[in-house]
Amino acid sequence: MFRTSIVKRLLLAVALSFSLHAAMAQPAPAVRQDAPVSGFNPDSVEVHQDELLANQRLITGRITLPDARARTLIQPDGRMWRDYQRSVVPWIAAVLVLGTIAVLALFYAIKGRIMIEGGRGLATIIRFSSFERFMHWLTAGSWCVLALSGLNMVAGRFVLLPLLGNETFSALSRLLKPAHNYVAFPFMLGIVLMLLVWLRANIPNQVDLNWFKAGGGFLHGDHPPAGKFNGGQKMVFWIVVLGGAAMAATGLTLMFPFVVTNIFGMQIIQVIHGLIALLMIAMMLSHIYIGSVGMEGAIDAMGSGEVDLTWAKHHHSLWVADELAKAEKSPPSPAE
Amino acid sequence: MRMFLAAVVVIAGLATGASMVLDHFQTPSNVAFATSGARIDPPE
Repeated sequence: MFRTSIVKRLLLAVALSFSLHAAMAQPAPAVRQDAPVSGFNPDSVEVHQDELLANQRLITGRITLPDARARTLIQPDGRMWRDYQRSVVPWIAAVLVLGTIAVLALFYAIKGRIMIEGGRGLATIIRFSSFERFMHWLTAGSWCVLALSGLNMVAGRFVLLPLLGNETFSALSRLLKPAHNYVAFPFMLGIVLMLLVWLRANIPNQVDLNWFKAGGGFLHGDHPPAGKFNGGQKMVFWIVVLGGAAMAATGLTLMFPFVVTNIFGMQIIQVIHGLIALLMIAMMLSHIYIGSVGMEGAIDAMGSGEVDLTWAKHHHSLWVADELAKAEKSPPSPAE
Repeated sequence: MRMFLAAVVVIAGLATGASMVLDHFQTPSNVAFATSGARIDPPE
């Protein structure tokens, strides 16, 4: 009896052992092993993506990286910003840049080049000093790099990528992106220099109002009086100075991420930076047009610095009168 | 034309200077975000 009981117990133990091994080898039981202890199941059954993205400004996790900002897994608003960058901004750029070029081309087709009435004379007058021309080109040259590299960020993938191919476009973009940051500094210096040197001559006055009322002489052909800078040039000056200051402030904020503001603020600042830039590009295209192919004699002001006296009398009559009056007051010393 | 060329030279010089100053202050992402438990490959 005792022996039989021991044998039964041994058999039971062996059977139990086999059944335990078999049970451990079975697939996962009905209760999921990855189910959290809290009972909350963060999968698509209970969490709906659209609701989550609509209700959470930041979806964060737990990390061991030293930078706490890296715990943000998803920033739902960032998707809206990304869509705006990829879909809306290229259209704004196309409308502003191509629209401005189209308007200028139409203007040129209708009006042609504005010529010097009576042709060029023999006399010239110094319009801009060497330093004035230097700071103009310092600002203009760096602006060209900034504008082209910025446009590449906005529309390069649509315009240049199909033309250049992946590798060339990638290499070009990797060159232009840091150039955009570094060339910003000579641009800022140029803005400061222009403000210091040309501020006094660009304070708006009644003469400018009359200049605008007369359409700047572009519509009827008569030249309204103007000082060293006419109303249109003063407008360009203030757009460059104020727009440039805004571009510098927003650009520096983007250049040093998270120093001034968080990701939400940086996205807003980036939108402002891009919109001001596109408006400035459109405005500067008009400035470039009228300073080069649009008007005979205008480019000389920033080329040699000397302009045709007849041209100057037509477009800046008050300034010429002042300069001639100064020259009469201080006649050149006689030759020894 | 001389002033234009001078401006181009100064732009290149200032941009180069800015790149050196900024590079001095900036830390590459593979260094800034690396820890003893997380290593990030350097950019190519």
